[in-house]
Amino acid sequence: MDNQRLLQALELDDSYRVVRVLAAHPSGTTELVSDANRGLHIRKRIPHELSNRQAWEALGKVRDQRVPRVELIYELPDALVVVCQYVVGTTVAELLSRQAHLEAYEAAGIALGVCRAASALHAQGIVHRDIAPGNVVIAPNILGDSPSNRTYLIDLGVARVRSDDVAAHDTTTLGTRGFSAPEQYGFAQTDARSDVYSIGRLLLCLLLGRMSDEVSLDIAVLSDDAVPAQLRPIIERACAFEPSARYQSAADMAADLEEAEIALGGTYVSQGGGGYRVAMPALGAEDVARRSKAPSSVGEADAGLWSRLGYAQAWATAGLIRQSLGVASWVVALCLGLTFVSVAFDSSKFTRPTDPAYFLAAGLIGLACSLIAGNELCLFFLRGGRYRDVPNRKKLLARVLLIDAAAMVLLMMLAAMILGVVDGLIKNFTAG
Amino acid sequence: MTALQPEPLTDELLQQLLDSATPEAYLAQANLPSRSLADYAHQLLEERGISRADVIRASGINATFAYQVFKGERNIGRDHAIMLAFGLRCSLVETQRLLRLAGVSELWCKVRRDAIIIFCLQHGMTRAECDDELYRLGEPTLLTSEG
Repeated sequence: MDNQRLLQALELDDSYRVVRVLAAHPSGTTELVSDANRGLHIRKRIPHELSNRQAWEALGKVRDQRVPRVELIYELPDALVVVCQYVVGTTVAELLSRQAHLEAYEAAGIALGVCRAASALHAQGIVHRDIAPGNVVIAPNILGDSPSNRTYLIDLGVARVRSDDVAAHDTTTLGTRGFSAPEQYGFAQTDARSDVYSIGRLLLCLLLGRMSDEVSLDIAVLSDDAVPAQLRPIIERACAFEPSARYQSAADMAADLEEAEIALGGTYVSQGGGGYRVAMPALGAEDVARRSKAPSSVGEADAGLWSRLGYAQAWATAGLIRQSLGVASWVVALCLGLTFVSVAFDSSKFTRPTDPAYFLAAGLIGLACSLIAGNELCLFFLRGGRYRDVPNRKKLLARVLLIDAAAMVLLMMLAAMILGVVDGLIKNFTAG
Repeated sequence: MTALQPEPLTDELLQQLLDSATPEAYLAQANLPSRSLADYAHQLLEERGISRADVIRASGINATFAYQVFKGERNIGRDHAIMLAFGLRCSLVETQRLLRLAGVSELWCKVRRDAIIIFCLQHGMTRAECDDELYRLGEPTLLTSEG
């Protein structure tokens, strides 16, 4: 490697600060790093002999919200370095270890999200090869998204680009025991259908609330009450030993899962940009029975899921506050706007700028505008992930309030200025 | 990188050693800091807020070689260690510490070439300026044509 390229790479390498080393193995290091703007990223160093730059570059072309973006690839003398988007949330492994039990529609939604992520990868010719609970992250519910939209498929460390050489067997066995398809132990070339198998196992674990290596997949398990009838055939087909008997693509499986998710009562209807959860009417007696213990409203559903996700609650709380403030501030702004218009046209009220009514109006309008702007700002920041490094609820709320306060002061000043101009114009007009 | 603890002064340590009956007694109580050249170099990077690329450019050391030194995978010769010290903008004291950690002899003002280098370090000159001085006074430069 020539000097110039290495210097550039080192410059990039040193522009990140290591926050925490997440994993250090001979097969590579994974670090949580922060950039100059305090934004968080995941950085992987993979020794050259194990790295596959081609696969990472293909991954960089995947444009799916459920797959962490590859932001930067560079080479050091001994390793390939990849910087990826950092996804906040709880891994399914953590959920399972906490013995959290997911509702069937949540499980189906998560599996659906993984299917969509996997099919985006497959479209670029990438096989993930390690779809396992530790590599599926559920982001906290801030904007009322469905589980499938909050599911991320992470850790593409062992992803490989599909080889055209069918005879070639994978030489190394990688992946997670209990989730890897049989062919990944060296029976045949792995392809998209290996990932389908893993998703099937994942779904089963989500439903049973147990890790897969404790669960031998057979009829007894599938007839467990925890596995709803709608999902049973999907799991059976996805986990067939012969790849040819499985779903031939993750997209096929996604279609079936989507249907099952709807049947299980977990449909989400997107409303405008935000997307609020709309509970579907119950479908049949079985669903009614299930629903008696299932969440009955938007808040309950989210609270139910997020209470199980512990720390992530802060996010949900912040999201809820933002949402209610958003609605409230629009209402207040509308009322005040109407009042102002009606007062403004009665110009006698605004003969002197020192009139208390003038300041009151400016203040109130500023307040309303700032609520709106603060809301939008917060949503923007929350969406943009600037809050990913906030460790607890208090700090998160403090920051949200800080943004609100700043927006409020700014907009009050702006409103006062605008009112001053309008007042001047009115006076000019009436004087003329 | 190891966290920085207040380091016992060398003189105090020496006194402890001289007062000890056995080497074990000293080793047990002295709590010797274990620090490598790479650790120290990273510490200086952090203190100065500069990147390895800056250091490599300023020192004139081959980038791949320097990368391995920073990773602690490679030992460094005396002249390279001095160049690294220039790159890291070390003071005289820091340079001597760096040289000790590199396992090479410190700069010694009784040696003509070392004296020039000490003067340059003390006056905050760059590696290139130091090489100019060395060349002017007829001493071998730090950066040789082989790199």
